Amino acid sequence: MAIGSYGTIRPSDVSPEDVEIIMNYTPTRDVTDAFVLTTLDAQTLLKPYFNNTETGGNSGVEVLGGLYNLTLPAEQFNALGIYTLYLRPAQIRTVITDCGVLSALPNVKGIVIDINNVPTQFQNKFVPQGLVGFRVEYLNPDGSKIPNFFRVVTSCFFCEPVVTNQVNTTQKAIRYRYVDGDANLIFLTLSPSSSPTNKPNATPYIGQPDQDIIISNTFFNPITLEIDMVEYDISSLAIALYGNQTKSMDDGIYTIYDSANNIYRQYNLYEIRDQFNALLYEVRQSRGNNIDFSKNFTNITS
Amino acid sequence: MSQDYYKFIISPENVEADLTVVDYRGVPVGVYSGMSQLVSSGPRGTSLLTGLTLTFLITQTAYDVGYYSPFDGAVLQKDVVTNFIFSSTTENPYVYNIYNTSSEFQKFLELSAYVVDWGDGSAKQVITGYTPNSLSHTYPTASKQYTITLQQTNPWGITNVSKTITTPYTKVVINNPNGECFFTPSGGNWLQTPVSYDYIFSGDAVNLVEPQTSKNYVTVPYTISGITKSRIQELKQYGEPKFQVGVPVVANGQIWGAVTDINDVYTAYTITEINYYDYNDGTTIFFEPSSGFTEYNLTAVPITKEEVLLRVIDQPQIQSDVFVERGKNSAYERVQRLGEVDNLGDMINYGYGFFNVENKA
Repeated sequence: MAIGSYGTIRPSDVSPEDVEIIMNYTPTRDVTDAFVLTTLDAQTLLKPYFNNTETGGNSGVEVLGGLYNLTLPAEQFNALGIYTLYLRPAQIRTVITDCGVLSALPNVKGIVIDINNVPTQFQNKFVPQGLVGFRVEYLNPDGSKIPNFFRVVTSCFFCEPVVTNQVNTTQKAIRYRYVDGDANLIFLTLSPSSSPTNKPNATPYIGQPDQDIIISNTFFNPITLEIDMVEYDISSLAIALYGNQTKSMDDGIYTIYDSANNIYRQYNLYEIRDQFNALLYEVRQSRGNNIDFSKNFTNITS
Repeated sequence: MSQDYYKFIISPENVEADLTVVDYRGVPVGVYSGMSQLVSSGPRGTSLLTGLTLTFLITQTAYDVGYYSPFDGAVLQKDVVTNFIFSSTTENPYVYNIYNTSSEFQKFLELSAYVVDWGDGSAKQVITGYTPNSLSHTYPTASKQYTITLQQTNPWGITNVSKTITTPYTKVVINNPNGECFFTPSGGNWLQTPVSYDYIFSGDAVNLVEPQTSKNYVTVPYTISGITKSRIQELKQYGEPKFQVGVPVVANGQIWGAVTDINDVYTAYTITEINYYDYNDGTTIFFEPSSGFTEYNLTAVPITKEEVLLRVIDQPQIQSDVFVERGKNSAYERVQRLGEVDNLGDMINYGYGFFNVENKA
């Protein structure tokens, strides 16, 4: 019987630098071949909320956790339509320098990464234990991604190679040992990397030298935000149905107001008759930006 | 990992920039624009909604990676399983003795057989004894090098350990005293292929854990203090006065503590280097300098990550509620228990009140 339980979902306090935002835009639901797929700069657009004097914590310094604010840039959000934003952990693309074992513990396998092959902005992650919990995904030689396959980093430390001679050959076998202090090589142990007990020679695949890999954090769950930029929503209908309205009998201007009596829409109402003065049509025509401000509700009703 | 989804609708009613307030003869009049105009009327067709922001929640589904299991050290040194040493003398420099130092008492070596190849073309010789028994061999009178090989034949393969000697023996420094060790599997992919056992090599000389650990310890101690229960009774002594300033109390063969000051406000004392102050209002505070983790309370061990321990956050703890009573009626029980008591404080605390100690003025 369990002595207790613990929750596994926590408000994320991920830094915007560890987030990637991918935007997909389509003007309508049924236009699928005219979409725009691009990325947005998370570091400038995504801001975490910080504690203030009301929420406790260190005001302006301590991140609130979980709650984030995303600015929608005017350059991209410049049309009506459907914007789908995909927030995922930032991907670190690098290459496996070597796959090896620890010299002192030959049963501990791992991959070795040369930090010089890591994009500069992510090199600060490649420190002892800095990548624990990160996910490693692999690319095929043709650049395609191996689907449904990943490994999890269980430890990482700086390392250096040590060399041993192999019998009956001039081939050198490199093993690695941990070193303290800065080094350009880092040894990542992955899970799973141990063979099953029922087939000890079936070593799980953890990559191969010169293979391109993608390392991504697991600091938060990927999310999607769907943003509909619309001309009308259900509030518009409420205004049209239940808002105050005036009709000027003199000039036929028909005005609709919102709940605060702001002018929501203005129309010209008129009739079209034939040469015999028979009524053919009653017309309601939007005045667009040509608003007659004298028809404000305060003027009319006061 | 779960995936969250949020949907936002941005319409004229929920963006402030869509509402323009104009002055009509002193009366402010709010007027809405069309959304399609708003989002494309900025410079170079950009949106006028430059302050458009969304607030949403980001969560993390976190699983514990688990703990690193220390290496249990359950390995057998290679040169114990199969090895030999050799000797000679300057008096008989062509006579060499070898001693089978292979592990005699390993259960898995019971079926192993040993053969010595002296390296001079003579017949291989079966060796059945272990050190200190030896086997000797006389080499031809010549200045020459020979390779002595001890072959251990096991059901699972053959292990050869070879060492080079020089005749005549002249007390020279022996190169590579560990020799070379090869294992030839009797089956599998490496059948009949000698595999080197030499996993300790010059580039890997420092295989200790200690040289590979950092020592960023706090050098200036900081104070840990708090409120606790008085322990002054542990310093109570027989006779009068019960508490004497500066007189150490010995327990378990070492200095347990001492009362350092008694005044009207507090009684100060030290137990196992922790300073206590009993105030006359009944409260007790303690002070102890700490340095956090130090090399004295951290043991450096090699660590490995066992996949089976993913999401297992601690080692199994065996907790038993079983209390074995050694016999209430034992005539010696109280005597035995009394033997575990060093001082009066111990007696009061022993076994949560096992001894009935009456406090008489």
